[in-house]
Amino acid sequence: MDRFQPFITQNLLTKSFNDPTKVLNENRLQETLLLLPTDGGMSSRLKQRNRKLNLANLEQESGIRHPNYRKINKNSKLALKEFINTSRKAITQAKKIAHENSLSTREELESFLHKNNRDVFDKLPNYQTFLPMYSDLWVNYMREILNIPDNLSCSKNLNINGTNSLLKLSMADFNGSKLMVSKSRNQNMRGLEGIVLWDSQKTFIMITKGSLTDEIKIIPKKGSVFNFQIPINDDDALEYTILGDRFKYRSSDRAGRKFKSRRCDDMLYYIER
Amino acid sequence: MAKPKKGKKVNIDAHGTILIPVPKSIPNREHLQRLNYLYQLSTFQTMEIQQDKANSLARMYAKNLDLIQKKTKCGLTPGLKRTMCKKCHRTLIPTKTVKHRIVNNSRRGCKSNDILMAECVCGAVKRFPVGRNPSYETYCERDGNLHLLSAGRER
Repeated sequence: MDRFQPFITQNLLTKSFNDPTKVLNENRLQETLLLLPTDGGMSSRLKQRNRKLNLANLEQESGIRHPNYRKINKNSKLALKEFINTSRKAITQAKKIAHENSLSTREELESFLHKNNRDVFDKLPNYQTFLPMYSDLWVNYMREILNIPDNLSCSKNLNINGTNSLLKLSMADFNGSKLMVSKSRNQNMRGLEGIVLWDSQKTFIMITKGSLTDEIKIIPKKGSVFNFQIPINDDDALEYTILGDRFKYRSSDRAGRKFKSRRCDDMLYYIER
Repeated sequence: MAKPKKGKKVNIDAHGTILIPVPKSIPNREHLQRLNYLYQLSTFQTMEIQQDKANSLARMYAKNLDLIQKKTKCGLTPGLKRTMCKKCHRTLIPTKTVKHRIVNNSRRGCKSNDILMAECVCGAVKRFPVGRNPSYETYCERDGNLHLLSAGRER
């Protein structure tokens, strides 16, 4: 009762296996399935290229990827969201610490955090660092747009084409401007003043001055009216108003847009006090 | 066949190129000013704000710049585009967000194959073949291609 059949060994399996008892021979593929370059003349060049890729290039290409690749390469919108959330969290933590240790002034709190809670201190946003964004950059940008000369002694000398300048302002960038909420359906938002960090589609993300810590606030455009001033010289300033309800576009979409008239029954809060 | 209209004169020089007079004022100046402002903002943010580890705000401004540039079809000079990462929109500031190095992959290491690699923090790499032609200038850098128009502030 020998189950080993010589027929199979000799005929059927000769092509693929040398030894049917040892079915998986590691080297069997190498004999039959050897890939050769189709063009005989090119073979030497191709081989050299491959070798080069193995030795030199592979090291370099792996070196390009940063160790924190995923973290650094995060979508900028997600990164912004994370930045805002972490700084807001840091602010609440700082307030909590101030409450627990009964620190009442800003200097006390900052020195305390610097000593004990370094991680919170590093994440706290600072109004002063964001201030040059408004005072140096944005004001100059506005002056450039509206053609206000650098040193104007008297504000009466200024002549501005009203409609033209409004059109320019509607296309201007409001990242970095200093806005004040003058009217709002939400009573608590009235009088808030801050520098705009990001002008999103439906909100203004602002950084505001606070007594203990500076705060990042997200203020919806819907149902609120914003004021801003463009200083001409030390004493005088031009004042304009933004209707947040009509401003609900992304700042990049506003680049070529013409604002059209709309029905205004949602603007009742503008008349009521 | 398109014929030139009657009232307008078309100047064609000997080589057959149409000569267009230089514009007197800058067309859509607001957009250019806005782009300039956004670039300044993003550079300022990357330099100054330490709390923002991922440069998220600066990147958003630069992204905005890119979007507006596409929307209004304003061209940017290569000089400006080379200071921005194409992938993550970071402003490339040496030692802060970008590393420069010279790489030579050629077998003999001859000088003409030198490549300047600018590697952004995100891992994107800009490569410039500096060895090929050291005196190369982009179109904007060559003499006689740019015209100086009076800026608006002096008026």
